Amino acid sequence: MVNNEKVRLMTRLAIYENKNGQEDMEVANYFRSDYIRHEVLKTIVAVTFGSLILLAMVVAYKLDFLLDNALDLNYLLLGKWILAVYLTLLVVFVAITWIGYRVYYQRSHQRLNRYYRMLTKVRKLEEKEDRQNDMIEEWGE
Amino acid sequence: MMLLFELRAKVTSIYQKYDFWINLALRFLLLFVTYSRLAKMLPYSKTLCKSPAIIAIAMISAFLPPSLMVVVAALYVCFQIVSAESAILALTVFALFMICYCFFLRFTPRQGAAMIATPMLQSFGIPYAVPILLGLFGNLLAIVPMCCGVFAFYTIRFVRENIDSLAKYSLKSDPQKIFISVLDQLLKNPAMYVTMLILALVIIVVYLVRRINMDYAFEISIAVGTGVMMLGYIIADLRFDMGIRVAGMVFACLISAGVCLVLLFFVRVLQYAAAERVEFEDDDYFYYVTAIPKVKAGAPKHKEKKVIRRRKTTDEDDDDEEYEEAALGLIDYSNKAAEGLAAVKGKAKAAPIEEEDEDDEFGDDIGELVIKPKKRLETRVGDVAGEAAAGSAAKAPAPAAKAAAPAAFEPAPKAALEPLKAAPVANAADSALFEDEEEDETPKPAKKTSGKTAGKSAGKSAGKSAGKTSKGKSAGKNASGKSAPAEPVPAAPAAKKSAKPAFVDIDDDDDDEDEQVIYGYFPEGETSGQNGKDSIEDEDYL
Repeated sequence: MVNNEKVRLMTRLAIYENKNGQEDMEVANYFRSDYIRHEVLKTIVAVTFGSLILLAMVVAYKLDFLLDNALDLNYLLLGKWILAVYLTLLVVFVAITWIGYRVYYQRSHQRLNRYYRMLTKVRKLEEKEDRQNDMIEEWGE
Repeated sequence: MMLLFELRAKVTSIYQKYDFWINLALRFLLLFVTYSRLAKMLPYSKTLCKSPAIIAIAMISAFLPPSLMVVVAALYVCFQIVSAESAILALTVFALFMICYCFFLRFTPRQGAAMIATPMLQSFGIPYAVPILLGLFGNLLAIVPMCCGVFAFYTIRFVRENIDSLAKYSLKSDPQKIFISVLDQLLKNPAMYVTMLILALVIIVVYLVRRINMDYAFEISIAVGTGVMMLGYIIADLRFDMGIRVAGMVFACLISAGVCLVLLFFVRVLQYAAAERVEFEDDDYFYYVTAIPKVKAGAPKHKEKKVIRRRKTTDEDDDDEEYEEAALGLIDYSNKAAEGLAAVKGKAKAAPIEEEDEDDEFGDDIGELVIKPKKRLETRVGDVAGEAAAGSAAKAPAPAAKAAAPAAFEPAPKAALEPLKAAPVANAADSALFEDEEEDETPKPAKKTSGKTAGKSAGKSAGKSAGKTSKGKSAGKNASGKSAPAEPVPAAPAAKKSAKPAFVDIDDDDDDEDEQVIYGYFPEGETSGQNGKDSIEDEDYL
């Protein structure tokens, strides 16, 4: 006989799996520090790539000036400026990533905890069913 | 108003049946309009401008995740520009889009639709609804894709207006001039930044106002957001001479606010109305479950009040009104309930238990009620409709001092609470998934009734009344009904008035018993095991 309570729980579990479950389980494969590092690394790559495009565009924009003053430019200072801008961008975006994904990981972890608690409930229901079936069999005998 | 509620109920039921296809169709429609608009703004490639090509691209994009949708749209723009024999310009635009993606869109991969809708609506001259909707249904992160959308719109508009002159540079093999020209005219355009600022401000204001814990927060946020937007555009026009026609802008803003209100009316329900189809198995069965979220529309508050006043004929009006307020959460219900209990206890013990005619639907007597003050107070989150429905429900259990069947009376007060919880719809969706778990920590409102009582009753119970059928069922049906005889006095006042009630029992137990009642009880005809399909319901899903 179908156990309605179990169906209800399992339905909720299945809905969760369809919605956030897969993402949450992927996240749960990592320790929090590893997960955040992974995302920070992706951010570093993206920011570096974006910064390179930005630098290329600035160079193209100022190409006339750069060619005219190619011999007089203080390349060390220029390099420091570029590095400073890049590092500033990097720090800002890494900080945003670190905070954002930390919060995301916590929420994901909470959802997954509830999911496992419900799984435990289902397991207990099944055990109860088994016990009842055993009892019925015993009485039958 | 009821017509609108009925219309919404119809739309909801249709959406529940075909939610996947409707979502897909809406996405396709958005993309089709976007690509059609792009084809009109940048008509350089004959192939890409043909309707079959647009339909094909829109159809393919509709199946892609939102972040890829944006990438496809960006590539479409670049290909159009390349077709105008301006590869350098296309490269420049592509580089700008890439910078947007690397720095900003990477953090909001799911909000690609906002990024696409913003420039599309802006090209029609009506970007006003977008920030309000994003503030209503999104979060503050929506500012990022919206600003990128504004940037994309100004980029495309710049390309359209300057493509001829820029193509001329290209022919002369002077790519740097194209570059400088693009960056100068595009990035030194104050109108773009001002537009971004105004729209971002509107999102922030709408988001903050709608989160305030007050009645009609969503509607007020729309009004405030519209006001901020109009004010912002007027100031910006005066300061930066953006060439805005103020009268037209104000009119468009008001139309946008109206559109947002209509969408709010439907979307707030539809957001949580999509049916879930899941499959799973255990040792014995395969389950193919369609979980349909319960979405109920209660009757408007003022209508219920009219009914209430018609019923008042006795001297106890003052008392009743107090309890009506208590039922609506305006005063501390638990105190009143306790008073009622204290008043009735002595009488109840002495009074003989009398059976009443089941057809006495308006009787003042209460059989056994389970009053859960804590839970009742929590249901204050309900909206107007829910409160109104609660008003009509309180009297429903009245017919009975039937001590022999206490369970028959129990559903009524719970049924009274059902709409309070259900109507705002905000409790559905993700948070509802684990409601069982949360029940352990914070007691939920006693919103469950035996079998399919309150949950099913929203639209059905107009003509039904308490006591006409078996009591548990009818009481529940009246709970959120439209014209149920109403006297929102729960247990205590009725008990004060009469010595007939057998007893009143205040029960602070948890909901365990309720759950057993719910899931174990199916009214006749509601389930059938013959075809292998059963229906189970809880507070969120059917």
